[in-house]
Amino acid sequence: MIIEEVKTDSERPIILEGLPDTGLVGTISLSHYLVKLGFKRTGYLQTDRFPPMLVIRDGKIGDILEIYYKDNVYIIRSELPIPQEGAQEMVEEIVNWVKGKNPRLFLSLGGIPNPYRIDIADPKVYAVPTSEEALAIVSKMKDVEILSDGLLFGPKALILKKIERLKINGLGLFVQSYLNYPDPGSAAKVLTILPQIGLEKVEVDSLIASAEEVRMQYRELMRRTDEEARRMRQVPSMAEQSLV
Amino acid sequence: MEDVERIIEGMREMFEEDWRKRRMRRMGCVEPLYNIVEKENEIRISVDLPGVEKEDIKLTLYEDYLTVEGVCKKETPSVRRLSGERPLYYSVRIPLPTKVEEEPTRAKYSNGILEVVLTKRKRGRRIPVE
Repeated sequence: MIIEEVKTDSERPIILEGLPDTGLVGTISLSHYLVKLGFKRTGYLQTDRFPPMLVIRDGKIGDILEIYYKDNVYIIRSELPIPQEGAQEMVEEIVNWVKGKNPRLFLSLGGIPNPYRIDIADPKVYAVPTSEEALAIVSKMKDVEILSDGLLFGPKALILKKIERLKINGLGLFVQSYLNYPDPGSAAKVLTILPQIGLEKVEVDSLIASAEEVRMQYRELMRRTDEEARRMRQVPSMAEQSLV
Repeated sequence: MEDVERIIEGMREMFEEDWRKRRMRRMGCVEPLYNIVEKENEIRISVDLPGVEKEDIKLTLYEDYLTVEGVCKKETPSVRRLSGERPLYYSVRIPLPTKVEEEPTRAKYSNGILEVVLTKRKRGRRIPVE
């Protein structure tokens, strides 16, 4: 279950989710966002489903999946991918917590693999709305296309499906990205979209400038995420993942 | 007889690969992340080599695998964490899903990502009858 250590005064907040996935787009973008804008840790997911791992951040012991908060906006960030064993249960915990917050919008940030990403200077952003209201939000956005056909795998797919069933306004924003390399360029791209939803603007130049360092920093998480994704899809290679 | 030869060849490759990995570990090498996309006529292999200069990449194509080696000379916190005081070496042997032509082969390195495009070897070649 999600333990909230700090009481927050949110009212119909926006909740951002950046669990590790294709290109770690959500993880990288939201890690940058919460550090640059000074979000504070308010809670964590208590579970025995993650492998035994101790997270140490700024000299303090942290948790694998944490909740951050600032100005009516929550961020869900994880240091490990959601494991296949227990994915349903963990997603249920997250979605129940989201439901309890009665958000005006739930936003899932991720990547959509493109084998020609190396040649793409300005990656496209695709949206998956879970309600008519979310669709109306997308229709007013610039630089965002509706994902009309495609397949999503993994915890993000599960979360969006449950969000849709619960009639929560949800929006998946997926950027063209590398499949199994951390992609700070795509993470920066999705961050430039957020102000259109009323979220605070954040500078992305420093993220782009330190792209190679960021890729090294997230190398191990990317490897684990790729392995987990393969297990979930039970196919030999992620390279066969369905493309837009 | 062919089966026995195949088994021996498989074992030889297994030992070679194990020996290569041990040697790389002793040198403090890191295996880079890579991805293979197989198209109708070509195989696109990309390798994540952050922090490497193009001149420091060694790329060798063998009959059924590709080796990529590179050295990262950057001094960043992540490099120090991965390699300590020594330079960070990348090394990987990538098995090819099918036989490829020796030429033409294209390789491009951009923003820390190496992409190699290999042309699949054609299975049959039409011979004109005179």
